[in-house]
Amino acid sequence: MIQDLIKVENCVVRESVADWKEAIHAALEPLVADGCCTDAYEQAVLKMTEDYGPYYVLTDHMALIHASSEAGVSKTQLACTVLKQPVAFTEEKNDVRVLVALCAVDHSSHMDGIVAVSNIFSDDSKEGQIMDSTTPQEIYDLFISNAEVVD
Amino acid sequence: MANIRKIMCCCGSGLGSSLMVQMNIQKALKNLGIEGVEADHTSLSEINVKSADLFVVGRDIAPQLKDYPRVVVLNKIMSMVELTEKLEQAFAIEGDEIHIGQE
Repeated sequence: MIQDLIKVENCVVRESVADWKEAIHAALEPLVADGCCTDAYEQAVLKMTEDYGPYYVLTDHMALIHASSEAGVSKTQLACTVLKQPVAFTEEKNDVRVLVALCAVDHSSHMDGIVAVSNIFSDDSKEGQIMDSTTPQEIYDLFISNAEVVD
Repeated sequence: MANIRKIMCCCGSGLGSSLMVQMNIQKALKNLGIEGVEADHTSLSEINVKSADLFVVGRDIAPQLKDYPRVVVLNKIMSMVELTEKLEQAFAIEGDEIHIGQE
């Protein structure tokens, strides 16, 4: 259930971050504070970014910050940080406004979360709604209301 | 029609885009009326050329599969339109090699 995968407390609206490294840190901070993963997970994301580039920037405006399931993860959970000012991950991927952080204990426990991410960010108007969110509750509500599989 | 029974979606972690693409493939196959094809997702480190009949990946990691004979590369990982088009092309190919979107 999506309700088990995201909390209002892990949704954040923030003015800006200095650079992509701070973006990764900011995105994962609620999950670390919540005990879902450790700093080792952040290090794993940084290492994988060095190896593969920012593989998690999935649309012009959204990054799904995550590494593989092994690295310091104890609970499957999502967090979402909306930035008022965009951050650049590369010269091309320079307009990211929504940081969805994901940590998962296996390859399938986060399925409902991915359904919500997919539903929201494959739809320009829903992506716009999340970028325009001004409160954590608005972000949370969008995830909850978009968790059903649609054909 | 190409003989494709199993499609594997891969990304660096095996958690994010690969799962998303797997779910989109299941939708796309249904829309195309193609039945009896299994779709799965995993990380790059867990695949070899025999893992599936067709591999679907994002542009970022496409170079890692440059020696694979059957690959579909997506520019926009979340685009159902692009995915559906490219899957339709893949299934229409006669012969053993499928290279769609590869540079």
